[in-house]
Amino acid sequence: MHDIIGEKLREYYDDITKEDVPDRFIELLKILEKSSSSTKEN
Amino acid sequence: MVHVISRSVADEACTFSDLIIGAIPSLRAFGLSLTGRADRADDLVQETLVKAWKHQDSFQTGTNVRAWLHTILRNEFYSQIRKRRREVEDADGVYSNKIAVSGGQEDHMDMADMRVALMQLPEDQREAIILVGASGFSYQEAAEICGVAVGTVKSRVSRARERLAVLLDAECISEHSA
Repeated sequence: MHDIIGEKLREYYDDITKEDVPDRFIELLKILEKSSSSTKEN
Repeated sequence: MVHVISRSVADEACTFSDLIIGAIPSLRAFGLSLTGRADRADDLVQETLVKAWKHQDSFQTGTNVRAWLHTILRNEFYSQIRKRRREVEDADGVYSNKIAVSGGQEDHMDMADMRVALMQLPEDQREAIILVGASGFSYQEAAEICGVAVGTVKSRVSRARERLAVLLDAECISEHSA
């Protein structure tokens, strides 16, 4: 019925998801990994 | 890429953080669609990652990690909004969704239009149409993420579609006549 809406919506969304994952998140995950592996070893 | 993984999960083909990293683009888009602001969206994503990590024991391998992460982000959004609403209501008595709309001037025109139009929708319709119409979740998954019945998601999606059609058409007309 409103296929144009669906297309525009996916276009909008895909444009955002195409962006690279910011470093801050990769760094954050590294920190979380380090902290959880050190607690597990205790 | 992250390869400083803890030994306990290193044997698995895909680590927990690999799974999370794969979902980040979609989480950012969901966050941006909910808040209308890139800085708030990324703060939401950051909170989501920390919470996901903290509660990774409650995540079962083989279940849908994307849906699980979107649920966490959504819960975080609503708890922030409740807090914000209380603050704003204290300040001037009324909360307006419009304050969340940013200029978005660097965006492609259609994208800015869509973002502005999305922010005109009530939150429940907005999240429903994003999850189903853009992120590729099934109605069932979206219902679980939002904690409502499948039929409720369906009706929200259809109302959102109708509203968006009106809003975007109206914007096209006003642009051309301006």
